[in-house]
Amino acid sequence: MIKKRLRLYLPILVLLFLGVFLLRGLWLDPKKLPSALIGKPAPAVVLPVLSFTGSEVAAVQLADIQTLQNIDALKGQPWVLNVFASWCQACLVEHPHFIALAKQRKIKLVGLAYKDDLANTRRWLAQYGNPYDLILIDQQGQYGIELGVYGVPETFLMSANNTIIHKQVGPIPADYFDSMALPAIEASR
Amino acid sequence: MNVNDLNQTEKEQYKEVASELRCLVCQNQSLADSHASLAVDLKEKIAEQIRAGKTSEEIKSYMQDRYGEFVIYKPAFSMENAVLWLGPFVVLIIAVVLARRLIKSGQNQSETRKSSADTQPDLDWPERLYAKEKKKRQ
Repeated sequence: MIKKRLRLYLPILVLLFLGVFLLRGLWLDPKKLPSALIGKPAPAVVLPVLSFTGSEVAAVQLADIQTLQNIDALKGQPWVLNVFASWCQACLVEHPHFIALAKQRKIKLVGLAYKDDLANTRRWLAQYGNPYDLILIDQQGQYGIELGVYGVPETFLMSANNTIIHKQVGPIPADYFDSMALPAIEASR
Repeated sequence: MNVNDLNQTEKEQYKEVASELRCLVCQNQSLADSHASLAVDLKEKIAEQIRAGKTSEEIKSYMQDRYGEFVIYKPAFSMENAVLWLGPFVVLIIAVVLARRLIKSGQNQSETRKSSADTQPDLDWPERLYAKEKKKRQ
């Protein structure tokens, strides 16, 4: 008798079991991938620096490629690397959050102008504001490949010794620093 | 470096590698099929590495180091994905066992049905049921 009852309910149980998985699937974002680089050192290269003082607009300058920045030289304090581009729509979503974060001066912000025309990058920064302490240039997207960038914007958090400790694909939330950066920095200590 | 700069054997290797790597921008396409700008960059990277004499395995692990196991269409067996690799076989075994049981019980039933059909049909079951109920209520 009990066996028969069990047999009656078995399909429903199986269905429920499947349902739990499918329900969970609704809240998973298949576009978000775990970064393979978490816990690994930031790829050490030397990148050109974009000169931007805010007043000059659109004029391409020789200075772009004369100043170089070694990624290794950024060690010493945690810093944020934000991969952005003027052609990137989603970057506008997170841009106000970076401007706010820059005003609070809580952490060093480095921008990486990814596969962008430099004149456009400048125009974009002049229009929306420049939150970055330093802007690096990756016109061919080569450093992007080293970092495993597949969708702009992406935001990497580096520890004081240049280990990648957090990665956000897509726009950062308004409380990025408190909800993501700070816990990751605490955990890496 | 472009595919067209490669020689024939290098092109073969290029095709093989590019079709076994996933495009990250359009996730249901292989790198070989995709024209997304990142896919084009990555394909150039593959061509470069093939020219530099790297093996297919080396190129794939280069991509995996940067983009994770997700880029490999045929991920290696590991504890994390054991369910995916073994799951189908487990389900198949369960299905075979169930099917055998079902077939067996089906045979048994048809046999019993046959034997009961040989004898006279039982026509006085209502009376017996009535008697039984009556006894219960007394």
